[in-house]
Amino acid sequence: MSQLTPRMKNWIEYFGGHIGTATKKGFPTTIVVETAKVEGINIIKFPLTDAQINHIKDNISENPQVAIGPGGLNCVRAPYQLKGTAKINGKELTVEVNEIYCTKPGPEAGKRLDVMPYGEVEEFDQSHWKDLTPPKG
Amino acid sequence: MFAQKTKVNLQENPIAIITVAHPVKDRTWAFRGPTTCLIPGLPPDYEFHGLNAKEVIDEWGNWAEKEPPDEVPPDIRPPVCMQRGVIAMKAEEVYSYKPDESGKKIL
Repeated sequence: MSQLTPRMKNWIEYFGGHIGTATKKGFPTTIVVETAKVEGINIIKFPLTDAQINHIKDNISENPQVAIGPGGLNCVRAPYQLKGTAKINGKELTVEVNEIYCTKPGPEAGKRLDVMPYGEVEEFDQSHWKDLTPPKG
Repeated sequence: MFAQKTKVNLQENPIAIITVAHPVKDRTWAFRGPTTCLIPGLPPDYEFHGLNAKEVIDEWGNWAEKEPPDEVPPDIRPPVCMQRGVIAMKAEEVYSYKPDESGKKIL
């Protein structure tokens, strides 16, 4: 089971995410959600507008696998890609994260983090970045 | 390791989306269309939707040398800027990702 670090939680909650979905045949559709709430160790809830629900509901019903990157420009500052299983409950997209990757450009691009012991993932975060919470403003 | 997964994904399924994460208000664009990775070593006359691979690689193949990422803080800058190719997309659709009009076609 994947476990988000405090840094991952902070950045996703503060900036939401770019959420990629696809049909079973791989035709992609994305939405961008500006905020999120993390529950437990690997559940992310995104509030959706009606337009966003209409845009992705068919994809989610036929293929619940989604990929998420932190919202806005924050994929640069917090270069994580989260993959998981999604479902729409009312006006909320709930994602159970089951894979976590580093997307920092360079030799660590694509490094899978969730297969490492959790303590090592925290050390990875702390050795790479000092900003465990995003800048306010 | 750079971009290997992206290359494999594009070979299996060459349709992609780019969402623009620009801080300027109202640039809430998502581009969708056929996409490929142009790499050095392709035949000089190789074309992708009218784009000549050699011209693209000559212009964009070493972006870090042309525009070094000097303003990027060291902790998020790539340790070595070794570019492996150029992602090229033919944007066949543009839609808005603005929350209240997500999916609305712009082009």
